[in-house]
Amino acid sequence: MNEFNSIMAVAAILWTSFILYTGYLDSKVRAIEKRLK
Amino acid sequence: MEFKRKHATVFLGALWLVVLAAMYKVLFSLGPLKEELLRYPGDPMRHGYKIFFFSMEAAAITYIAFAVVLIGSALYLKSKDMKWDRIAASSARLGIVFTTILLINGAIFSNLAWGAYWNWDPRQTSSLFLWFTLAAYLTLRGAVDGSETRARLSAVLGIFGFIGVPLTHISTTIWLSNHPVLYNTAQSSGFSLDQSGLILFMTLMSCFLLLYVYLLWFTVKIDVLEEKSQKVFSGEL
Repeated sequence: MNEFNSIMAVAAILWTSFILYTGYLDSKVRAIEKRLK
Repeated sequence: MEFKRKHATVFLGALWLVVLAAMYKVLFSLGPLKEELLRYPGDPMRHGYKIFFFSMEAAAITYIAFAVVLIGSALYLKSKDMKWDRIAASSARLGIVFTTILLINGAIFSNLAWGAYWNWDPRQTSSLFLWFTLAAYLTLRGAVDGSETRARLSAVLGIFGFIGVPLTHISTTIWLSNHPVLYNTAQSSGFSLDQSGLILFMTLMSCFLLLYVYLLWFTVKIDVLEEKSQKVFSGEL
Protein backbone atom coordinates (compact mmCIF):
# COMPACT_ATOMS: atom_id res chain seq x y z
CA MET A 1 0.00 0.00 0.00
CA ASN A 2 1.47 3.34 -1.01
CA GLU A 3 1.54 6.46 1.13
CA PHE A 4 -1.36 8.05 -0.70
CA ASN A 5 -3.64 5.05 -0.07
CA SER A 6 -2.85 5.17 3.66
CA ILE A 7 -3.91 8.83 3.78
CA MET A 8 -7.14 8.00 1.94
CA ALA A 9 -7.82 5.04 4.28
CA VAL A 10 -7.63 7.41 7.26
CA ALA A 11 -9.92 9.87 5.42
CA ALA A 12 -12.42 7.05 4.72
CA ILE A 13 -12.45 6.05 8.41
CA LEU A 14 -12.98 9.66 9.53
CA TRP A 15 -15.77 10.21 6.98
CA THR A 16 -17.48 6.92 7.91
CA SER A 17 -17.42 7.86 11.61
CA PHE A 18 -18.96 11.23 10.70
CA ILE A 19 -21.72 9.56 8.67
CA LEU A 20 -22.44 7.07 11.48
CA TYR A 21 -22.59 9.95 13.96
CA THR A 22 -24.97 11.83 11.64
CA GLY A 23 -27.20 8.74 11.51
CA TYR A 24 -27.17 8.61 15.31
CA LEU A 25 -28.06 12.33 15.52
CA ASP A 26 -30.86 11.74 13.04
CA SER A 27 -32.41 9.13 15.31
CA LYS A 28 -32.21 11.61 18.23
CA VAL A 29 -33.84 14.35 16.11
CA ARG A 30 -36.61 11.94 15.14
CA ALA A 31 -37.30 11.22 18.81
CA ILE A 32 -37.49 14.96 19.63
CA GLU A 33 -39.80 15.55 16.63
CA LYS A 34 -42.14 12.84 17.90
CA ARG A 35 -42.21 14.40 21.37
CA LEU A 36 -42.89 17.92 20.06
CA LYS A 37 -45.78 16.80 17.83
CA MET B 1 -44.56 5.00 -1.66
CA GLU B 2 -45.02 7.47 1.13
CA PHE B 3 -41.83 9.14 2.32
CA LYS B 4 -41.29 8.36 5.98
CA ARG B 5 -38.80 10.14 8.17
CA LYS B 6 -36.73 6.99 8.79
CA HIS B 7 -36.12 6.63 5.03
CA ALA B 8 -33.71 9.57 5.29
CA THR B 9 -31.35 7.50 7.45
CA VAL B 10 -31.58 4.54 5.07
CA PHE B 11 -30.82 6.93 2.18
CA LEU B 12 -27.75 8.27 4.01
CA GLY B 13 -26.45 4.74 4.70
CA ALA B 14 -26.98 3.58 1.11
CA LEU B 15 -25.34 6.73 -0.23
CA TRP B 16 -22.30 6.18 1.93
CA LEU B 17 -21.96 2.53 0.83
CA VAL B 18 -21.85 3.75 -2.80
CA VAL B 19 -19.18 6.33 -1.88
CA LEU B 20 -17.04 3.71 -0.11
CA ALA B 21 -17.35 1.33 -3.08
CA ALA B 22 -16.38 4.12 -5.53
CA MET B 23 -13.49 5.15 -3.28
CA TYR B 24 -12.24 1.55 -3.16
CA LYS B 25 -12.42 1.40 -6.96
CA VAL B 26 -10.48 4.66 -7.31
CA LEU B 27 -7.72 3.54 -4.94
CA PHE B 28 -7.33 -0.09 -6.01
CA SER B 29 -8.71 -0.51 -9.55
CA LEU B 30 -7.56 2.64 -11.32
CA GLY B 31 -4.08 2.34 -12.71
CA PRO B 32 -1.15 4.65 -11.97
CA LEU B 33 -0.48 7.80 -14.00
CA LYS B 34 0.94 7.21 -17.49
CA GLU B 35 4.72 6.77 -17.58
CA GLU B 36 5.24 9.73 -19.91
CA LEU B 37 3.51 12.08 -17.45
CA LEU B 38 5.81 11.11 -14.55
CA ARG B 39 8.67 13.49 -13.87
CA TYR B 40 11.08 10.91 -12.40
CA PRO B 41 11.03 7.25 -11.28
CA GLY B 42 9.15 6.93 -8.00
CA ASP B 43 7.25 10.20 -8.55
CA PRO B 44 4.61 10.38 -5.76
CA MET B 45 2.10 11.63 -8.36
CA ARG B 46 2.10 8.11 -9.82
CA HIS B 47 -0.82 7.29 -7.50
CA GLY B 48 -1.15 10.73 -5.96
CA TYR B 49 -3.04 12.07 -9.00
CA LYS B 50 -6.10 10.27 -7.59
CA ILE B 51 -6.48 13.07 -5.03
CA PHE B 52 -8.26 14.85 -7.90
CA PHE B 53 -11.29 12.58 -7.34
CA PHE B 54 -11.69 13.93 -3.82
CA SER B 55 -10.52 17.53 -3.95
CA MET B 56 -12.67 18.28 -7.01
CA GLU B 57 -15.77 17.15 -5.08
CA ALA B 58 -14.84 19.33 -2.11
CA ALA B 59 -14.28 22.30 -4.46
CA ALA B 60 -17.62 21.79 -6.23
CA ILE B 61 -19.54 21.51 -2.94
CA THR B 62 -17.75 24.62 -1.64
CA TYR B 63 -18.89 26.58 -4.70
CA ILE B 64 -22.44 25.23 -4.36
CA ALA B 65 -22.53 26.05 -0.64
CA PHE B 66 -21.47 29.62 -1.46
CA ALA B 67 -24.13 29.86 -4.17
CA VAL B 68 -26.81 28.68 -1.72
CA VAL B 69 -25.61 31.28 0.82
CA LEU B 70 -25.89 33.93 -1.93
CA ILE B 71 -29.37 32.86 -3.03
CA GLY B 72 -30.62 32.39 0.55
CA SER B 73 -29.29 35.82 1.55
CA ALA B 74 -30.79 37.56 -1.48
CA LEU B 75 -34.17 35.90 -0.98
CA TYR B 76 -34.12 36.79 2.71
CA LEU B 77 -33.48 40.47 1.95
CA LYS B 78 -36.30 40.40 -0.58
CA SER B 79 -38.94 38.51 1.40
CA LYS B 80 -37.77 38.90 5.05
CA ASP B 81 -38.72 35.26 5.51
CA MET B 82 -36.52 33.62 8.20
CA LYS B 83 -36.63 30.34 6.28
CA TRP B 84 -34.12 31.72 3.75
CA ASP B 85 -31.84 32.96 6.50
CA ARG B 86 -31.82 29.49 8.07
CA ILE B 87 -30.96 27.90 4.72
CA ALA B 88 -28.11 30.38 4.12
CA ALA B 89 -26.70 29.87 7.62
CA SER B 90 -26.85 26.06 7.35
CA SER B 91 -25.19 26.20 3.95
CA ALA B 92 -22.40 28.38 5.38
CA ARG B 93 -21.84 25.88 8.18
CA LEU B 94 -21.57 23.03 5.70
CA GLY B 95 -19.50 25.22 3.39
CA ILE B 96 -16.82 25.77 6.01
CA VAL B 97 -16.57 22.01 6.57
CA PHE B 98 -16.13 21.35 2.84
CA THR B 99 -13.71 24.28 2.43
CA THR B 100 -11.61 22.81 5.27
CA ILE B 101 -11.63 19.45 3.49
CA LEU B 102 -10.67 21.26 0.27
CA LEU B 103 -7.73 22.98 1.98
CA ILE B 104 -6.51 19.69 3.52
CA ASN B 105 -6.85 17.95 0.12
CA GLY B 106 -5.03 20.87 -1.50
CA ALA B 107 -2.20 20.63 1.02
CA ILE B 108 -1.80 16.88 0.40
CA PHE B 109 -1.79 17.47 -3.37
CA SER B 110 0.65 20.35 -2.97
CA ASN B 111 3.04 18.13 -1.01
CA LEU B 112 2.84 15.35 -3.61
CA ALA B 113 3.21 17.61 -6.63
CA TRP B 114 5.34 20.50 -5.45
CA GLY B 115 7.12 19.14 -2.36
CA ALA B 116 5.62 21.37 0.34
CA TYR B 117 2.24 21.39 2.07
CA TRP B 118 1.72 25.11 1.56
CA ASN B 119 3.02 27.06 -1.43
CA TRP B 120 0.92 30.24 -1.56
CA ASP B 121 -0.23 29.10 -4.98
CA PRO B 122 -3.06 31.43 -6.18
CA ARG B 123 -5.53 28.51 -6.00
CA GLN B 124 -4.49 27.67 -2.44
CA THR B 125 -4.49 31.28 -1.33
CA SER B 126 -7.89 32.06 -2.84
CA SER B 127 -9.37 28.89 -1.27
CA LEU B 128 -8.04 30.11 2.06
CA PHE B 129 -9.80 33.42 1.34
CA LEU B 130 -13.06 31.46 0.87
CA TRP B 131 -12.50 29.77 4.24
CA PHE B 132 -11.98 33.13 5.94
CA THR B 133 -15.10 34.55 4.26
CA LEU B 134 -17.24 31.77 5.74
CA ALA B 135 -15.48 32.06 9.10
CA ALA B 136 -16.30 35.80 9.09
CA TYR B 137 -19.92 35.06 8.14
CA LEU B 138 -20.33 32.56 11.00
CA THR B 139 -18.50 34.80 13.49
CA LEU B 140 -20.81 37.69 12.56
CA ARG B 141 -23.83 35.48 13.13
CA GLY B 142 -22.49 34.49 16.53
CA ALA B 143 -21.77 38.07 17.53
CA VAL B 144 -25.11 39.77 16.78
CA ASP B 145 -28.09 39.53 19.12
CA GLY B 146 -31.61 39.70 17.71
CA SER B 147 -32.58 37.37 14.90
CA GLU B 148 -33.76 40.11 12.46
CA THR B 149 -30.56 42.19 12.71
CA ARG B 150 -28.41 39.07 12.54
CA ALA B 151 -30.22 37.85 9.46
CA ARG B 152 -29.98 41.24 7.70
CA LEU B 153 -26.29 41.82 8.43
CA SER B 154 -25.21 38.29 7.56
CA ALA B 155 -27.27 38.38 4.36
CA VAL B 156 -25.25 41.40 3.17
CA LEU B 157 -21.97 39.63 4.00
CA GLY B 158 -23.27 36.43 2.35
CA ILE B 159 -23.94 38.32 -0.90
CA PHE B 160 -20.62 40.19 -0.99
CA GLY B 161 -18.70 37.08 0.16
CA PHE B 162 -19.66 35.28 -3.05
CA ILE B 163 -17.05 37.34 -4.93
CA GLY B 164 -14.45 34.82 -3.69
CA VAL B 165 -15.95 32.01 -5.78
CA PRO B 166 -15.35 33.40 -9.31
CA LEU B 167 -12.02 34.74 -8.05
CA THR B 168 -10.94 31.25 -6.91
CA HIS B 169 -12.17 29.77 -10.16
CA ILE B 170 -10.15 32.08 -12.40
CA SER B 171 -7.17 32.36 -10.02
CA THR B 172 -5.15 29.81 -11.99
CA THR B 173 -5.55 31.72 -15.25
CA ILE B 174 -5.17 35.34 -14.12
CA TRP B 175 -2.20 34.73 -11.81
CA LEU B 176 0.91 32.64 -12.28
CA SER B 177 -0.02 29.22 -10.90
CA ASN B 178 1.23 25.63 -10.94
CA HIS B 179 -2.21 24.21 -10.34
CA PRO B 180 -3.47 21.77 -13.03
CA VAL B 181 -6.46 23.00 -15.05
CA LEU B 182 -9.49 21.09 -16.34
CA TYR B 183 -9.55 22.68 -19.76
CA ASN B 184 -6.95 23.83 -22.25
CA THR B 185 -5.55 27.30 -21.75
CA ALA B 186 -2.73 29.27 -23.35
CA GLN B 187 -0.35 28.15 -20.59
CA SER B 188 -1.14 24.45 -20.27
CA SER B 189 -3.25 21.60 -21.61
CA GLY B 190 -6.28 20.34 -19.70
CA PHE B 191 -6.44 17.31 -17.47
CA SER B 192 -8.34 14.33 -18.93
CA LEU B 193 -9.81 11.10 -17.58
CA ASP B 194 -10.51 7.79 -19.33
CA GLN B 195 -14.05 6.36 -19.36
CA SER B 196 -13.88 4.32 -16.14
CA GLY B 197 -12.27 7.26 -14.38
CA LEU B 198 -15.02 9.54 -15.62
CA ILE B 199 -17.78 7.18 -14.40
CA LEU B 200 -16.16 6.95 -10.95
CA PHE B 201 -15.73 10.71 -10.87
CA MET B 202 -19.38 11.36 -11.78
CA THR B 203 -20.55 8.77 -9.19
CA LEU B 204 -18.52 10.38 -6.41
CA MET B 205 -19.62 13.85 -7.51
CA SER B 206 -23.34 13.01 -7.47
CA CYS B 207 -23.01 11.17 -4.13
CA PHE B 208 -21.31 14.12 -2.46
CA LEU B 209 -23.88 16.47 -3.97
CA LEU B 210 -26.69 14.34 -2.50
CA LEU B 211 -24.80 14.23 0.81
CA TYR B 212 -24.68 18.04 0.82
CA VAL B 213 -28.43 18.23 0.11
CA TYR B 214 -29.13 15.72 2.89
CA LEU B 215 -26.91 17.59 5.39
CA LEU B 216 -28.50 20.93 4.44
CA TRP B 217 -31.99 19.52 4.98
CA PHE B 218 -30.89 17.95 8.28
CA THR B 219 -29.18 21.05 9.69
CA VAL B 220 -32.16 23.27 8.75
CA LYS B 221 -34.40 20.74 10.53
CA ILE B 222 -32.24 20.92 13.67
CA ASP B 223 -32.42 24.76 13.56
CA VAL B 224 -36.21 24.67 13.32
CA LEU B 225 -36.42 22.20 16.22
CA GLU B 226 -34.08 24.35 18.29
CA GLU B 227 -36.30 27.41 17.82
CA LYS B 228 -39.41 25.39 18.56
CA SER B 229 -37.95 23.91 21.76
CA GLN B 230 -36.83 27.37 22.91
CA LYS B 231 -40.43 28.51 22.48
CA VAL B 232 -41.63 25.51 24.48
CA PHE B 233 -39.18 26.29 27.31
CA SER B 234 -40.09 29.97 27.38
CA GLY B 235 -43.77 29.07 27.53
CA GLU B 236 -44.75 30.67 24.20
CA LEU B 237 -46.00 27.37 22.82
